[in-house]
Formats: sequence, C-alpha cells, structure tokens
Amino acid sequence: MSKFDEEAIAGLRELLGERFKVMVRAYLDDCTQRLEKMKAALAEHNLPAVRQEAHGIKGSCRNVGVLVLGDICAEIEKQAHAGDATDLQQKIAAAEQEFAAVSIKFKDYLT
Amino acid sequence: MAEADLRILIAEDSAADRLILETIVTQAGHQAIPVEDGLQALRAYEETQPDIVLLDVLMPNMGGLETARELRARHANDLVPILFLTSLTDTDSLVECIEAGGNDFIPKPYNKTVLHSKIKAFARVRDMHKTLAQQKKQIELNNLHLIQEQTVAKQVFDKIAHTGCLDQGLIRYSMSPLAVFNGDVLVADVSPSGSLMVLLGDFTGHGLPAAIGSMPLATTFYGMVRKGFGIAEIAREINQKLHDTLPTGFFCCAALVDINLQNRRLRYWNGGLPASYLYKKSSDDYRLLESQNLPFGVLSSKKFKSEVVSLPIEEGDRIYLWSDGIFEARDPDGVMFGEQRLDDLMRSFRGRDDLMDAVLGKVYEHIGDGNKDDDLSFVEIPIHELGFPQPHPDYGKSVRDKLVDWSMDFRLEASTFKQFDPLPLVTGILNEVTGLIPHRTMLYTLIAELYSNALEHGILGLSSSLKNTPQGFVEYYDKRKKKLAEVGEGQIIFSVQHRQTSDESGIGGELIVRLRDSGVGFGVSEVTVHENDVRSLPRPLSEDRDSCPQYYGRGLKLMSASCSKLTIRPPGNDVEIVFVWHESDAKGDEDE
Repeated sequence: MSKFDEEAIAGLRELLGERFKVMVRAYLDDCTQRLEKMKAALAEHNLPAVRQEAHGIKGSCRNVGVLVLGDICAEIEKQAHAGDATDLQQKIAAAEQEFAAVSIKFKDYLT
Repeated sequence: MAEADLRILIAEDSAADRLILETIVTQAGHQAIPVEDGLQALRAYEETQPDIVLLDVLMPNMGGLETARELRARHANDLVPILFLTSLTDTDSLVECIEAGGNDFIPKPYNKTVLHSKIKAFARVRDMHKTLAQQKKQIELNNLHLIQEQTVAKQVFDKIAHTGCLDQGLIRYSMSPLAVFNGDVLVADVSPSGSLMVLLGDFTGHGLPAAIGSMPLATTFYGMVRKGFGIAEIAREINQKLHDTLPTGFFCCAALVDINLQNRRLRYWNGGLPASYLYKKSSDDYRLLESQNLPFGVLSSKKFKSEVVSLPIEEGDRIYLWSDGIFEARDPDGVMFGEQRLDDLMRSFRGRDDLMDAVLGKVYEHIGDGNKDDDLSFVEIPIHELGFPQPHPDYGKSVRDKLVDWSMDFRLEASTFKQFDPLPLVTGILNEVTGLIPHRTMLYTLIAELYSNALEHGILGLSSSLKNTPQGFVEYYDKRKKKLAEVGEGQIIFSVQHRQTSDESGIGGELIVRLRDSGVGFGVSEVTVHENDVRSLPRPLSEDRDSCPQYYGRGLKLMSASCSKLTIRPPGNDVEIVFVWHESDAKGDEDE
C-alpha cells in the first residue's frame, strides 16, 4: 500500500494554487505540535487528550492524502478511546517515525 | 443566484483543514468566515450572522457538539443549518451530532463536489426557512391589522347601535362577542309615534363580514324609525340594502318588533330567526312567533314579502327574542344545548323576572370549558304601563333654513293609499318647521289618528269596536288588509297650512291640518270642540255603536286635549285640527 494518495495531493495543488505551500506548512506545524502534545498527554496518562490529538492528526492526514500516518493515528485514537494504554508509547513512536518521512516528502513542496 | 454569496462560518482547529475548506467555499462564490474553535465560532456567529455553519466535532476550548447546542439555545428562531465536519463514523456519534442540533455531516477527507452540493442543498433549506419565517411574520402582522380593523369597525358600529334606546332599560339583553365583532346585531329605538322598535339580527359569519353588513342595517333602522316608518317598510328597505350590497351567500336572519303601548298592539316580522316567545299574562302561556319569511339579503326587492303580524298586548306581557347560538351552544363533548331544553326552561320560569338569568346561567353551565361556536344573544322586552321615553331631544335641530309660512294640498288616489303610507312624508315636512319639532310626537299621533280614521273608517268602513277583543283585533287587521286590496277608487286629501306669528314674548305659530276622504261619513252635524272642552263631545247619532268611528273614544279626547280647535264637518268625512305652538312652551314639552 502506498504511503500517499498522490491523486488527492495533486487535487489539492490544483485547488489551492499558490496557497498550497501555506497549507503544507500549516499541516506540518500542526502535526509537529499535536505529536508533542500527544506524547505529553500519554506521559500524564491523559487518554482523552491522546485521543483528541490522534483524531486531529488523522483528520488532517486524510485530508492531505497522507495515508499511513493517518491510519496509525486512527489506531491510537481508537485504542485511547477504549482506555487501552498497553503499547501506545510504541505506536506514538511509530507515528513520529512516519511523520519524519512525511516531512521529507512535503518539504520538497515548499521549495 | 440564491445559492451564491452565502456567509459560511467554518470552525475547524486544524489550520491545514481550515485552509482547504476555506478555499473550497470561496471558490464556489461564498464568503468564508474561518475560526479555530467553538468559542470563536459563537463570537463570530453574533458578528457575522452566517447563513450556514460548519463545525468540527473535536476542537479545543469548545467542541462542535457544545457549540451547536449553544447556538440552537441562543438563536432558536434562526434555523441556520449546522453541518458537522467529521471523520467519525460510529452511529452513536452521528446521533449525538443530530441531537445537538446538527442538520447533516460532511465526511473527511473533504471532497469539493460533496461540499458544494451540501451547501447548495442547505442553502435551499435556509431559503425555505426564511420564506416561512417571513410569511409567518406577515400573517401575524395581517392578523394584528385585521383585529385593529375590526376594533375600529366595532367602535363605529357601537356608536351607531347605541344611539338608540338600547341602554335606557326598556329592554334587557345579553350579547356575547365571539369575534371582536360578533355576528349578532341588536338595535332599538322609539319612533315618533311612541312605538318601541327592536331588531335582533344574526349575520352569517363573524368579524369583518358581519361588521360590514351591520352598518347599513343599523343606519337604515335608525334613520327610518326616526322618520316614523313601520317595520314592513324598514324590513323591505334593509332587505334591499343587504341584497344589493352584500355578496351571494351572505345574509342576515332577523326579527323586528314594534310595540305601541297607546294602541296596545304588537307588530312582528321574522325572517329566519328562531321563533320568538310572546308571554301572555292573561293566559300565563306563550304564543310562539315563528319565522314566516326568508332572511334579509336573500330575495330581491321584487320577491321580498314584508308580511307583518299584528297582535294585541297587555301590561305584564313579555317578549323574548334569541338567535340560534343559544340552543346550538355546545358542551366540551360537542353536545348542543338544544331547543327542547330551552323550551323547558322558558316554560318552568315563565312570567318570572329571573327567567333570562336562569336561561343564560344554564347555557353557560352547559358550555363549561367548551368553545362557544356561535354568538349568544338573548333579549327580553317587558310590557309596562309606562310609555317609552322619547330619545334624542336634539334630533332634527340641525342649524339650517326652515319652513315658515306655507300651505299644501296633498291628494292621494286609491292606487296610492292602497300600498303607500304617507305619514312619514307628511311628518317629514312638519319636521322642517323649527317650532313644531318639540311637538312632533304629539303631531305624529294626531295625524296618524286622522289618517287612520279617513282610511279605515271613511274609505274602508271598518268598525273600531272590533279591536276591543283579541280575536276582534286580529279580525280587524285581516279585514283591513282584505278591504284595502279590494278598494277600487277613492281619495284622501291632506290640506296643511302653517303660519308663523310673533308677539312680545317670542315666536309662535299655528298649524292647520285638514283631512277629507271620499267616504260617506257617519252622519254628524257640524261639531266644533275647543281645547279641553270634553263635555261638548258629540254623541253618536246612530244607534249602532259599531259604526261609530274612533272619534267617540280615546281618539277624540286625545285630539281635543292637544289641539286648540277640532272641527268635524258633516257628514263626518272632513276633519280639521288647529294646533298652536309658542317657543316658550317648548321646554315643558321636552321633559314629557
């Protein structure tokens, strides 16, 4: 399975035109902040906050055609909602790793 | 285009998502108002009054659900569509969104086409709500306007209706308004001849249509009563007015009553109203006066029958009128009060002063909490020995030029007096003489007496003694009608002359009224009676008392008491009265 929905990304470039870069920057900033918040929330065992951030990242990712990160966050959201913290730390680490890959790809759009 | 240029509030915490939504909305020609959370959304709503609201479900500070609830609570009448932006798919979450006040969902990831269609669809819903709200407001305004109009109409009508003697205690009545203006009309007045005239009418419908019909009815009634017209003429005129002016299917059931205490007779006309009850003290029983005619406004003038019933009345008699609202009054289960129950009540309380209160009490008790679906009108006219007070002492005193010195001959042929009552015309002319106005009741009575003598005894040869018994009374009027129809030729001539005089104490005048008829007279030699000289009243020459005209009874006494001079020329078909007035005696007369 492809990590990205290239068709959706192309659609967004067409839709947003010049503002596509603004959107990409906003997306990357948003995800960075949310991942930090999610880690902090897990450290405090605040699962509802974990769920909310995971939900936010998932939504944004799906909107901009980032499929794998979206799916990882969907799993975190589901698990946090169910109150199950067993391997959340690993999953969040996986999300961070995946986000690094996304950042590399998306930073190309900014140049 | 109706769908374009809407203000769309977008509450979405993710900057990237917000940017995407904003772009889609703007490209579709709408105005986007992007905010980051629920609190900002509430503020922006107040400031921008958006047409559609898009809410993300999960947002910091205030989430979408809470925002939706708050918006609905604050602006219950706005009906602005709220669409939730959500990637949630479980049923419970979706139900929660709808219950919080949402109208629909926009799924993530956002799709341009889906978003456009949803905005279009909800713009239409919004337009419909707006139209509905405007129409509702318009209807409320119209209703308010209608009530104001009816209130004005009622004020105008009340002014007209209460110009008569309704509030002088001659009759007792109860009218309940269903609408602002109810469908029932009650008017009453005392005629120049001293008759009490009452009309109870029940129009089809309520409110403005009834008000419109009531105006010509009331003005015609009062105008004609004051000019001395009888109920047959009044009924005919009201019918014509309503028939000519009101739309088809709109009519007025009515009963007209004319009570003359001097002659102890009741005249009655009923078109479509429930039977009126005439309580006879002598027999302690009722006589029912049924409707014999169609309501006002149904028939054209040509087909209209103004058949009037004449009946004798005595002191202690009572007349009761009502409209069908009394027995059609329904209890909360829809059961009518009914004619039988009303009749039973009328009979068990007959002759009693508390009858009316008892009937109304029982009817209202029956209705209970139920809706009154018709007007409740009930009228009682007690017959007392006392005469009816003359209303409007200032009637006719308009400041304008008047008749002073004049004379006229007015000759009626059989073709005229068979069907035309000349008294309103003649008394109308006398009303043009300022000095005679305070005496118009007396003059009307005198001239009516002269005229009925000339017509009924002179021309038709009727015997007044018939009227001594109730049966004879009816027979008398039957004969009068029959003979009047048969009469082939004859004349009645009014000769009226007025001369104004003045002396050191003011203005006065002398009125001479002479009536001649083509009848054979009753064989008297010339008689002249001066004021109050009752002893010199002529005795009948004939042994047959039945042939004696009314002059030998009350009529002559009345005339000699009121006139300066009364002359009967042989053979008795030529009678003249002289009436003298002076402005100084006007005041005393007014108080009578």
